[in-house]
Amino acid sequence: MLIKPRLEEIRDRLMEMADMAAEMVENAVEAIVQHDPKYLPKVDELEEKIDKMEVENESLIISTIARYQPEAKYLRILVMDLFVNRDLERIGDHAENIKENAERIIQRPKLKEYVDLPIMTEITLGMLKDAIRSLSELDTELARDVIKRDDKVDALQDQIIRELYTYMVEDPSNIKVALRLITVTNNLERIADLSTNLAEEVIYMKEGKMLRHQELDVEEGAEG
Amino acid sequence: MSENLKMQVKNFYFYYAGSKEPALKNINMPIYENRVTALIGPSGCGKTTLLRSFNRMHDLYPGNRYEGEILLDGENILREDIDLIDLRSRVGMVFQKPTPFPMSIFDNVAYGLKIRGIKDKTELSERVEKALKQAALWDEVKDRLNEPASGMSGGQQQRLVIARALAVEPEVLLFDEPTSALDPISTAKIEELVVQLKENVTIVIVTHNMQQAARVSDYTGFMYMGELIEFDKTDIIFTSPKEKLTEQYISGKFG
Repeated sequence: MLIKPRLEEIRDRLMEMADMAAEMVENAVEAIVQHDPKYLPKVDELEEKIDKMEVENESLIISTIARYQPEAKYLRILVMDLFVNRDLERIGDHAENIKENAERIIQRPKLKEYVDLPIMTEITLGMLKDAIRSLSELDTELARDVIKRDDKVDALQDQIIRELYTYMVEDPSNIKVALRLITVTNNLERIADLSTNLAEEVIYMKEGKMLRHQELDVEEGAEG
Repeated sequence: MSENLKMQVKNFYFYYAGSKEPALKNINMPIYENRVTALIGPSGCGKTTLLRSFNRMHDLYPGNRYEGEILLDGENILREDIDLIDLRSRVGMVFQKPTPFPMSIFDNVAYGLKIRGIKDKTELSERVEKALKQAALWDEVKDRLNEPASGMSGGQQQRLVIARALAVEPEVLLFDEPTSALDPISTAKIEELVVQLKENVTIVIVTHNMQQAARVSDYTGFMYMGELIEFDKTDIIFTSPKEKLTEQYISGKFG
């Protein structure tokens, strides 16, 4: 099959991009938690690479579809590769956004010792990394597990926001930092959503099932 | 991807015997080393005429006339004093229909070598085996090398012809519609073979089957009415060609 080397090339490039996206998120949040700007330049450096790669990957995927006219599994993989490519670039954008907020947050004294933020980050990063692993191995069991974890991230975000309200009410001078921290949680929540998208894309590649906007238990119920 | 020029077509015109109108008009294009270049275009556009100019096949008929230059490693092959036998061993050709000679499988592949004066039995069998392996045919025929080639399937015959062309170690291999007489499975085999072969030779392929050009080539030239309308990387020609005519042909709006 002449298409196979191209599919492998695309897969390798997406994996490289995925690792970069995860590294960006890690560094951006680490700067906040450690209250240290040394983690930030890496984020910008990777953002530039990811943006460039996204455009290159898109052309590569489109030309592969045009040249090899794939059907069935290969078509599903290539169309999902397009989505994965875009999702990864967006994850990079959210990491960049966290980084911009981090710059401001660490200019001021720490509001408190962060407890939930590192946990939310850990779960989100875990989802992202497992989504990437499920993609590299087309492991749909792992992909389904990633999707199930999304609710935890939402719950943690609510908890963090509630806590930040109390800080803001207590002392309005906390508002500047608190609002930025809320923005950071929004970005993490979006990264978790995009990781869920990646997992759903893996399931479609392998099984041809569209899970979007559908609860997993509905899917399980349907399977009986 | 850094590219080395293997051949270069410069201001090239071709006139068939007795015709004042050129069949090919002012063709300019590179042929890159160890790459597959495809020529596509509607029937009568001149793609086969151009292909046959690359090893001076038109000289077989009197009165045909070339103008301009076709360079092979920088040397103009249209020169009067060029040794055509030597040229055709450097630039080999595979035709539309398999053309095995009426002799054994072994002798078919050894033919060009014998003509070149190679008589040593060991060397002959080594080179025949190598060529058959390169043509992905060895495993299918190694136990019946002395049987007549006419007993092979069409797809096997075509690979045999490719092995025969490869045996004399050409630098460039020209394919003229190599799969149009073959079934889909044999076609897929030949296509994979073409892609493998570019490691060792430079390939130019003419095909009516646009998707075949898309699958196997690195560069594509689109020809129309004797002119080269567009030449670019295959990825570009099949996704975002610059010329409207190319776009129309690729998306099937011709005729």
